[in-house]
Amino acid sequence: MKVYSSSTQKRYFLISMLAPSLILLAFFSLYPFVANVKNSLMHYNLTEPFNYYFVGANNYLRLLGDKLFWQAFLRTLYFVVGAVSLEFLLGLGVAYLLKDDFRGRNIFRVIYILPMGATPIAIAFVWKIMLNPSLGIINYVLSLVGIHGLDWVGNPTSVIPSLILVDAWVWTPFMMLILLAGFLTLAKEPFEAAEIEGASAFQSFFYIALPLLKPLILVALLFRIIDAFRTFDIIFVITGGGPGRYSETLNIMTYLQGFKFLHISYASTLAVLMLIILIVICTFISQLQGIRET
Amino acid sequence: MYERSCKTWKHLIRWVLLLVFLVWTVFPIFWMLSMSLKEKTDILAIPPKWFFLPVLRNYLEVFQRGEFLRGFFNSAVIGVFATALSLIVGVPAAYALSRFKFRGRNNLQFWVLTTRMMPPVVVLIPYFLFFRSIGLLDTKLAVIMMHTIIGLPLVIWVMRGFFLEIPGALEEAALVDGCTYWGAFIRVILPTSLTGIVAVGILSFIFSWNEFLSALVLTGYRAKTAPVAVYNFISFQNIAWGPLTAAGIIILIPVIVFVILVHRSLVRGLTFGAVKG
Amino acid sequence: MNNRRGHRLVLLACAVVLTTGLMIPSLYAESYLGANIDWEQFSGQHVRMMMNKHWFTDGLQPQVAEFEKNTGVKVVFDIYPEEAFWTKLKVELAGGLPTVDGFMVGSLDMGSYTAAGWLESLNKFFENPKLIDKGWYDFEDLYPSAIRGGTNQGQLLVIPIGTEAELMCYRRDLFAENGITIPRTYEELYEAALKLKTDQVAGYVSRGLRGLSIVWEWTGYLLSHGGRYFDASGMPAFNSPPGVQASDMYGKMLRDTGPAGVISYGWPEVLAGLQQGKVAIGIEASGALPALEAEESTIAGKVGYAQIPAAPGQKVTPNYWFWNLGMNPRSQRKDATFLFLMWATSKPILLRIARGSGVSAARLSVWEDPLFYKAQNKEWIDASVESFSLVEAELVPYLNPKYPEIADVISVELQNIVLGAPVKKSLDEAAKQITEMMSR
Repeated sequence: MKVYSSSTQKRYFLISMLAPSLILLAFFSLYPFVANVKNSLMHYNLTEPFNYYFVGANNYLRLLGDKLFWQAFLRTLYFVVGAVSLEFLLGLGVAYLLKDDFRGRNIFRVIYILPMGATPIAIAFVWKIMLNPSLGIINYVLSLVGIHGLDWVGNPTSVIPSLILVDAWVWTPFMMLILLAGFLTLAKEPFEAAEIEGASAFQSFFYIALPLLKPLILVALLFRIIDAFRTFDIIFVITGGGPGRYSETLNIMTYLQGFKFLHISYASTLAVLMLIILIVICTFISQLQGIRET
Repeated sequence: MYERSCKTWKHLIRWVLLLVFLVWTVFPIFWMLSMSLKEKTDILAIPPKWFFLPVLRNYLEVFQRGEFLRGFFNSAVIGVFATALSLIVGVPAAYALSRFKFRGRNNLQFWVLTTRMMPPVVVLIPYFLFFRSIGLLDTKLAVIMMHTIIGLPLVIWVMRGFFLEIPGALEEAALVDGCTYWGAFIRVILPTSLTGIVAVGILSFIFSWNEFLSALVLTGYRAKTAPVAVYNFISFQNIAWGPLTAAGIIILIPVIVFVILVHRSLVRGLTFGAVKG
Repeated sequence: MNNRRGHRLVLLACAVVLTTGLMIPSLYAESYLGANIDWEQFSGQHVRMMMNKHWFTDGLQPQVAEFEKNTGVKVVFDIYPEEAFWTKLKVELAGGLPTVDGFMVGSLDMGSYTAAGWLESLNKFFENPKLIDKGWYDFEDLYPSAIRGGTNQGQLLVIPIGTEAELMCYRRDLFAENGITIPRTYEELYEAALKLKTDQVAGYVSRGLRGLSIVWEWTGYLLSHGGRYFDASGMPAFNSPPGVQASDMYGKMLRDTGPAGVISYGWPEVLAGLQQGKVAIGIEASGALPALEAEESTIAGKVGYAQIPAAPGQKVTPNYWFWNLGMNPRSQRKDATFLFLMWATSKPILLRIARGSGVSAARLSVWEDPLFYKAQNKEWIDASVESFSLVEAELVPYLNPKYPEIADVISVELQNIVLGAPVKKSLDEAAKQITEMMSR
């Protein structure tokens, strides 16, 4: 990117643009962060108010040695990778279909955003009842065409894929919206030039559009990964982490430790570990694609 | 001849795909709508009643609860202000991060991202104590601040992506013409990136409109938001499916209106994109 | 019973005399103003109550204006449904601030709240004649088992408002068609459910959802098989032979005779399944069952109510649940808060709420009230009252501060059992984890 000549004016400009955001974020995020790190180093269970003492890395060691933690971690990865890749593919496809001028595109653009606008609480309950094998509409419709539906979220093997589908239903619009806006902002010339040179639509999509969209694609992926990692409403309402622990993700585990069992130190430790995992994943992705170098 | 039939085919495929995706997208919402219009005994009936006389009773029940209307109003105020605030603060920061090289820039923007990574459940107690200590519990302002914080990383990162798409030559020309940095930013960059601003504005608004946990913890009776009020249709002994789904539909309407309203500028953004070359 | 009613007539007369000049609608024959205390002593204060969205709250809310008018105390009612309620309440209590004065407490949280120091002892308030007219309040009328459940080391920590126990409900029409009698043992229950099961109608339903849901109803199976959570030395005992039998049976019932997807059924789905006529027999909390006679139920009038079964030679011991009111020890308006708690749990108010909505209030007199009796399903009332008497409060470790975690660990293994995992091995795994947890 082009760099402006250095000057005091530029410095003031830079500071005036950056400062409000950074001050706000620092002000609001440092305190909970410090509180969490501190709690993760203590023995802190709300049911033992007189038993509050420093334990160093004990909570971390205990969690890292706990197979339940690693199972939840792998399960979370499964959910995140499944949900985000599905959302990305669908979102990219739909954004591509909607980027051109054709009659009716505006209606589609509005309707496709709706799932994201539907309040998660209400929609999670509606999905739960729809997925119910005996009270739900999905298996009923399937039975009309002669398919015996699954016990979607009651079965250890199908519970995560089912939750991925629900998550994809809600969040594909997020991908679509960002990528569609990206498509619409792209300059036209490279495509026109390519068409003149006889490139197929396929070629211009992969060799021109995707590289230009890369920064936005990465942003959309990063945010979906972060948010999918912390998915709560959908999983908690539909399965509560069950059957067994087959849908207990790290975030559900954190909630249970903190709010059901009142183990503040374990919940904080889990939170810090999740933070570290996310930092590693996001650093990896952004390094891989050179986004931090742009 | 060949070209035309190819175009028709492309058109046909596009429509088929769009319609398939439409069914997938709309069905749960349609189902929620149909639940909200049924009599209590029919709501969960399987085989379902596809044809029925719609009743508005559930909607009346929702509106009779003053709490829901107030929550609706609170959410609208919070959504608009939080979105505006995060755009006003976030867009310039995104611009600075995309256009200027300075030491620690990469780390800084990565740190912005990490503020979104904490699981919400563990920050509830610290935030509760914090807002209590500054006397803002149960005020719309507290929720506006929270939602701004939640929305900021998204605004900054998405807008940064958009600014990277815009050729730097644009504002250079403006600077040569005698604009100040701020002038170039406001007169040249903002109009060009309007599509992105609209998209990210929609996202921020929707995030704020639907956010549940921090709204639950930071508000009480006065500043309760719509999603928290919706939850109140789930009660002991039964889930009030009718009113719950009715509230779910009502709560969608502002999102539809908001998207349609700002969608115009999304289209306008398109023409800007075409002109700017 | 007659004696009690007569007693109450006298009380009523006293009340009327004491409140001369005050006309009360005949439905609300008893006035709380008859109590010999100064209702207006805290005029001008305000009390913030955090309430679960619950029949008690729904019934109490319209009465609050009257309390405010008569006492000058302003009551802020903050109402949230279960999960949201627990989250919000715990944040505020853990914050250690006087933001909330009083709140609802369910049985599940009694132990952990007590240990966390979130429940003010109420003894001294009950001894203060300025705050309570004991004769009028009639403490003995509160359900004794509920009082036991709310007492820890001689300190009364909460006042009960609602009492519920496990109850079996069944479709009388289907029983008659198939010539089935009310099952008294679990084997009979299993056979009846299998026999009633068709493609459209499942034989039996109770909760299968992870967490307290599945454990709550399994507890009745456990206790009625003679099993226990812990042995005398405090070690897990639910994996002993009666526990294995009970768990095996619970798994079999859900797996073989339950509706598809029962593993994600919480009470809303259980009730919905019953209401839609999709299940023949169910076990649920007594307080939730009036939903089967409600407007949205397709089986109203066709339902019979009975006690849960017991294994041969064992006593029927249903699990229970009390909703209570408690006080934040950090409240700065404790006296006014107590005045409200006392008023809200008093006989006239609980009676009004119960008559208005047909709910399971925690006062003996409510269940003997003729108007209440007339308005509700008689079989349900009789079965409920009997089930309360069968409750053995001490056998469910609600007072253990770790009970929420204990229940969660057990629920995970129970779900595995429903899915077909070996019973003994699964229970042993849960027992191992719980032993480990308790040694931490």
